[in-house]
Amino acid sequence: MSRRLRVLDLGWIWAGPLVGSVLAELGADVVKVESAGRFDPYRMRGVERRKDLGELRKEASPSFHKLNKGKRGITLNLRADGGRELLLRMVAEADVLIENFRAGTLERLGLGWDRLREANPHLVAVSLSAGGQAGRWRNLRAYALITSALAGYESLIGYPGEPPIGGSTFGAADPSVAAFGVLGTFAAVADAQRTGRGSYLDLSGVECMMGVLGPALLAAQTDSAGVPCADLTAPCTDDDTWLTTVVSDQAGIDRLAAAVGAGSGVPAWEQVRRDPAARERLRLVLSGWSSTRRSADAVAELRAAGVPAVPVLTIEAATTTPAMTRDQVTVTHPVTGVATYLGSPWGRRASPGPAPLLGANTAEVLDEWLGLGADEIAALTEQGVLA
Amino acid sequence: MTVDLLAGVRVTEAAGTLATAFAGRLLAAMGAEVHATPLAELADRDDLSALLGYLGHGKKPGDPQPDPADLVLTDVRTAARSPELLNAALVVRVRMTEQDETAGPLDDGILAAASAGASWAMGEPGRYPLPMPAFTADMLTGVVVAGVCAAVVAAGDSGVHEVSGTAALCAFADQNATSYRLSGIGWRREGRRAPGSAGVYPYGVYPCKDGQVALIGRSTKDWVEIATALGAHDAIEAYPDPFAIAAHHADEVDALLLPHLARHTRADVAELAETSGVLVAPVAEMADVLGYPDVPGQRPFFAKEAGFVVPGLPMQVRR
Repeated sequence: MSRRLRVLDLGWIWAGPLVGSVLAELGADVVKVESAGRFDPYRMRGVERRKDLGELRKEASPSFHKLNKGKRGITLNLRADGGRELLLRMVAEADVLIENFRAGTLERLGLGWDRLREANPHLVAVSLSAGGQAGRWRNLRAYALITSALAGYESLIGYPGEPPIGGSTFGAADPSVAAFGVLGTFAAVADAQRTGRGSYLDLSGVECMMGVLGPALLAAQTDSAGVPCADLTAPCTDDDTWLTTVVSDQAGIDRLAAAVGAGSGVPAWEQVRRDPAARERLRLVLSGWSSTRRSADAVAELRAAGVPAVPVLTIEAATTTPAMTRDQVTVTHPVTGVATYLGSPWGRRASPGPAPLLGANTAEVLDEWLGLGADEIAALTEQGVLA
Repeated sequence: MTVDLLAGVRVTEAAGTLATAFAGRLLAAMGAEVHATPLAELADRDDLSALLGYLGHGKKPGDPQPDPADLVLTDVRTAARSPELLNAALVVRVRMTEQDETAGPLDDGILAAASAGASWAMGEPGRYPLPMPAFTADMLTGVVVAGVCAAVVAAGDSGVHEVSGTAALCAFADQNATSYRLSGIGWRREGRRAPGSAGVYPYGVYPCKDGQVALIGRSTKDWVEIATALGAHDAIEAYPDPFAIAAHHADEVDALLLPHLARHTRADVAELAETSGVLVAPVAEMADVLGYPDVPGQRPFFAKEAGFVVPGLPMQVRR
């Protein structure tokens, strides 16, 4: 990119802000647009009960800080005519606009794609709604679990022979939407650089979640052969410690059986791939061996025998491994102080500053982007446009 | 669905992981010219022919191209065998786990999710943790990898850019874990519910009349809407404060909700979500998803490839 990308980030909660955060860490000038009356609800995530913080509560959420570091923040009242006009002037100066409101929100505000494109034919606009701007899910209002349930993902998580319990703790939907959003944004930016044309990308959370379920859908259509591989998770000596390994053929079963000293009673791969009960028998064979060992020792023994295995790490342990701390970054926030963040999986080209205080950069950004002086900004403030 | 956003971009794909191959599929679906060598380690697995066909869709054979590729897409295992790949001007190299050299393509995602802290928090307390299912960890990593490819192309970069599947999954897990930790709830397994209802309101998978449904709320307004839609007025009256529900009464509120849920079918719940935007949804099985292309109002998304219904590229593009 010959110059720094300018990004208007109207995202809130998780998926939209994550796209903006990735762009910021890759060097873009990302401006988070909120309003005083309708700020990003993630400002309260994890601090809902901290009423003792008073007005500072909306500046205290580490969850918000993670997803919004490296951005500048402005307040703009999009319900006011002047706010929408000002946004369109900023659109004219922007390369990318990101939003993840409920489908149709920008259209209802008079800020649909046709209007945005009129303001800037080179703009890349990215909508990440729950169910897409059209179609059967257009009225969907959703947090992650709704989209991942509709997509079929939650039905895949459970113990054999029991009803699904889902994986709401991990929350796979927002990362999926954001990952497709990042892909689409950069592809559209590359296209705009090449052709001079902007694009509007309409992403649906349900479809993005289904977008990573291709193998599951294929399995549902070709399941006569059984599973292609079997994951086995077994306990180790210390409380709530586990290891995971995978077998995917008879040679793998043989190596595992040799490593754990099991003789007869180990089911063959053909049984394991087709029969959940055989998989459970194999898991119990492994458990009998691993439960007398610490997880690190058991994993080392298995790997020495050619069996792929890892300890099942807690999030605290996972985030402190050398692989995860290698690219971490330290940021100082004016309210909450110093915090260390993991590296972005998409990489980093810029050292991010802290997440913005609500509207803290309004004057500075309007000056830089639009050349507005102090008097104009004071007048807009007086009119309630910058609220 | 295919789009032409990456038209003119030439990619050489040498994949030894499902994530790499999926990234190549996505790039091809976005208009890139992807020349790929099939996943050699899985070539003799007849049972994987549909999966390999899916991952290879839209690509050209990996023969030498007349012009050098703009981008080489590969992974640690493959590059270890063919180090000349790293001599290209622009390389994106995938590392699924720190054990890449000993694991195989079918192992990667499960090991990465376990190493990333993602698996540990899924499942019942007291029982073994559950992995991310059905290669979703590999596919999700593949989307990230494709995004890195698009980013380095857009930036006109050079050099070798490494993408870690474990790091991607860990970053995603850590984002959610932070909220739990700071709510004083902790990141742990709690079965069909998010731990402590994730800070506010019942949040998880619940049984209904004919299967399972998902519920999630984030505010008093959400809570009132959901309870009203399900006819659970007694729950609103007894527990008007969603913070208190999360902190102290999750089991009791579940007990109040479950009889109401037992009167609703998954279809009822789907209608509430689709027409009224209530924060409930049926937990769809794969068989349900396979039926989506025939549902009225379904917008174009699914494709038919080699006789199989598969998900398309989840983005619609307008100019």
